[in-house]
Amino acid sequence: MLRSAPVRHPVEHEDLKRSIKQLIVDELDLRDLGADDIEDDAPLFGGGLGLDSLDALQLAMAVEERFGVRLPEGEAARPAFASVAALAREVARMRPG
Amino acid sequence: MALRAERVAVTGVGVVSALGASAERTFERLCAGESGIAALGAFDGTDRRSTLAAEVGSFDQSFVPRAEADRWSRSDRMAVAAALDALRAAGIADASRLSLAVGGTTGGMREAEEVLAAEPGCLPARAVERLLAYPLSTSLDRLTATLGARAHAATLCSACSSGANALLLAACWIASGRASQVLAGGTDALCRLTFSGFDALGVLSPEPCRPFDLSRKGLTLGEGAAFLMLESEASARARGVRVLAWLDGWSVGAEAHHITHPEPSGETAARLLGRALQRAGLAPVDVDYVNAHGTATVQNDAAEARALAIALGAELTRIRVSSSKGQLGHTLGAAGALEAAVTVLAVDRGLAPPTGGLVTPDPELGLSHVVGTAEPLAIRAALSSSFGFGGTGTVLAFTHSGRERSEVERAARAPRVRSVATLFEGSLATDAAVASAASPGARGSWLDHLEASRSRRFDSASAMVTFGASAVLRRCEGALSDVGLVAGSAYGNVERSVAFLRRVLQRGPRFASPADFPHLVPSAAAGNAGIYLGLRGPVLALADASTSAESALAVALALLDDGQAESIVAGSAEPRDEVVERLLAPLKRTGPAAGGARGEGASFVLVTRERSAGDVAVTFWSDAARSEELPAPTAPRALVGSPLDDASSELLEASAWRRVERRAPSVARVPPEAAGGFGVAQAIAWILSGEADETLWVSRRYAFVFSRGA
Repeated sequence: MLRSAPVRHPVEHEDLKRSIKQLIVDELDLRDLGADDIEDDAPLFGGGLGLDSLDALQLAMAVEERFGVRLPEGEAARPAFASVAALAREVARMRPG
Repeated sequence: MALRAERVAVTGVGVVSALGASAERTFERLCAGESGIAALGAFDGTDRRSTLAAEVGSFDQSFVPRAEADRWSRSDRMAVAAALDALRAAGIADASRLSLAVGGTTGGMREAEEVLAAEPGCLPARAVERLLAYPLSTSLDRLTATLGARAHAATLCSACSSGANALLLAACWIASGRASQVLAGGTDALCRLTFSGFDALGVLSPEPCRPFDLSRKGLTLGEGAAFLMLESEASARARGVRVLAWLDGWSVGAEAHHITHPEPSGETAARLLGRALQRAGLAPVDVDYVNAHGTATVQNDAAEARALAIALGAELTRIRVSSSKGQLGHTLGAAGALEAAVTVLAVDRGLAPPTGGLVTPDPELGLSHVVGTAEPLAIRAALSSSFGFGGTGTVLAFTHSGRERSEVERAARAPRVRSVATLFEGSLATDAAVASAASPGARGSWLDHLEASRSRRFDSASAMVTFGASAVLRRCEGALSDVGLVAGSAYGNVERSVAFLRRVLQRGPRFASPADFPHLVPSAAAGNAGIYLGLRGPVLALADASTSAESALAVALALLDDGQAESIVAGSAEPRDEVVERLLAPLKRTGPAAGGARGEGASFVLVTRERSAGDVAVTFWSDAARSEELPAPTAPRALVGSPLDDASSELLEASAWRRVERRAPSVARVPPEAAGGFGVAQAIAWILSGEADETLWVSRRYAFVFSRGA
């Protein structure tokens, strides 16, 4: 059965979303964008950011490296990469501790 | 005026592949359905999505001089072995008059990668020797030295269509009468960089690849080399040698779509298939076999099938299509040449080779396959197609030796220069202003001139090529869909390759950067610029050490002369590269020790087939210039530009230009590798600025004559 996400402090979760946004800007070389320009629930791919599947691969690698998690690959990864909020939930769920 | 185009004969093929150390052995095993794919042996496969590769086994390397053993890369060794195999097959004993065209992507990366990834101060053994074999152009140097060949020569890269483009360039040289015998092909050794890169992209199949199969899961990498002996019909007849097949048609162009993804509609590929057929005087009804690019990725095979359907129509259901990658792997820069060799033997032997790994054909593709073993088939005409990162595709059309061909004409107009530009330390100069000495401009990145969202991950070379090409294209009146781009570079993007390799070797293959990888191929700058600018003509990279700009211009002129584009931007970009500075400085005449840190520089020339007011004609050009060939100056106000080294001076002294005023180009602080390009641009600008009516640029083996309003 699915393990429910561990309850974390809301401030900690905000920090996680913020670091994911900064990671997106840096790793995907979004030079004309700041972390604050990315909305928590806006679609990451196929939306306004103009990101494609190559960016998804890069982001997955960077998230795994930065947060020490192992994300699902291929189609199974799709829900986790829907938005910054979804990615933060997935990272929080997978993160040790 | 029109001239007759020489017909191109294939008189020998040579191969080193996972299936054998000769073309004969490779084709025999390919037709028998054997596979060269096995567990990866070259390096550790731990923590990778795939641990399979089509690696080359033992092959004769007795041609390597003992004293140079440390300096020959695996790519070099495979190239010379395959070239010797081709020469034996063609019955050529004296190779001294041969021209050479070589395609590749990795050069000596396999030997150099541990050196490049090492921290300063802990270089591994034989570091200098391994770096000497690193530049892409070394395989051509080894071929030249081993064979004694000394005519036309070029090293080019267009990622996975490199080998096919070497053959295409050779065909252009022969058709125009510029060369009569060209040994052309490609070579690429498997290395950590490419394996980790494709792995990171998630396109490596966990099982041996299955082109066109319903359950295809990606590609399997391979390595190898292949060369074809191409000759003019007159040369082949004079030697009385058997013609294996004719290379009657060819075409090259770019998708301008995405750095890694193929254009899903297949439209560009279809256009290239159509143009190759047209050039050969063929219709779909004449074609019996297609050796497809067929990488076995879901996207490639689908886009390619769509392209074949558009180009061949209803005939496609009759035409046999196979991919050799299920048995030979994807050999990257060698693939186009290797598959052309297979296609030639298929036409000659009347055998359509199978698609290894194909069990359940994907019905969506609508192709007619060869499954299991080869199928006897009288092949009148066959196509071989290649596509690569950056989107440059190439199609070659081979016909049976018994096929007659009606005469093909080619235009005989002197190409024109429409515009020139130089980039140096933040400042751009165009046209007449290029004649003045290059001076540093405002601080800042070349990227500041480009749209941020469309230039993500561009390195300095990509930014310089994009910005410089757009500067000369301001003078282009035609549609950019007919424009090509040929960009030279001596070393490629070393800094970023080093960063990529350090991550792989120090942190593990899982942390290879998928997005950086396609930017490491030597043709990345050209590909990035072509996509940014929407160029759909030939988009290629050239490497010839310090004369890479001259090589790029010579290749651009050959492609233009052949009608492969209406206009082409040719040039070179040499970025500031700390790794090149640090590692190669002891090996070079100039460097930090010889007068401070060097700058970065790039130069571009827009050449076109159309005349326009105030343009400059290219009345002579050669990449293998001899004094007696140089046409005498015709204008009273003439100037010679040259680096004035021994070779150039010798060429000039014995020519009709010996009494003409000579000038060294103004290139203080321009990187030495970029100086030749600045020299060419300045020689043109002397005419544009009114200082001269005719100019000659000579450096090493290159010579170009420019003339006002000829």
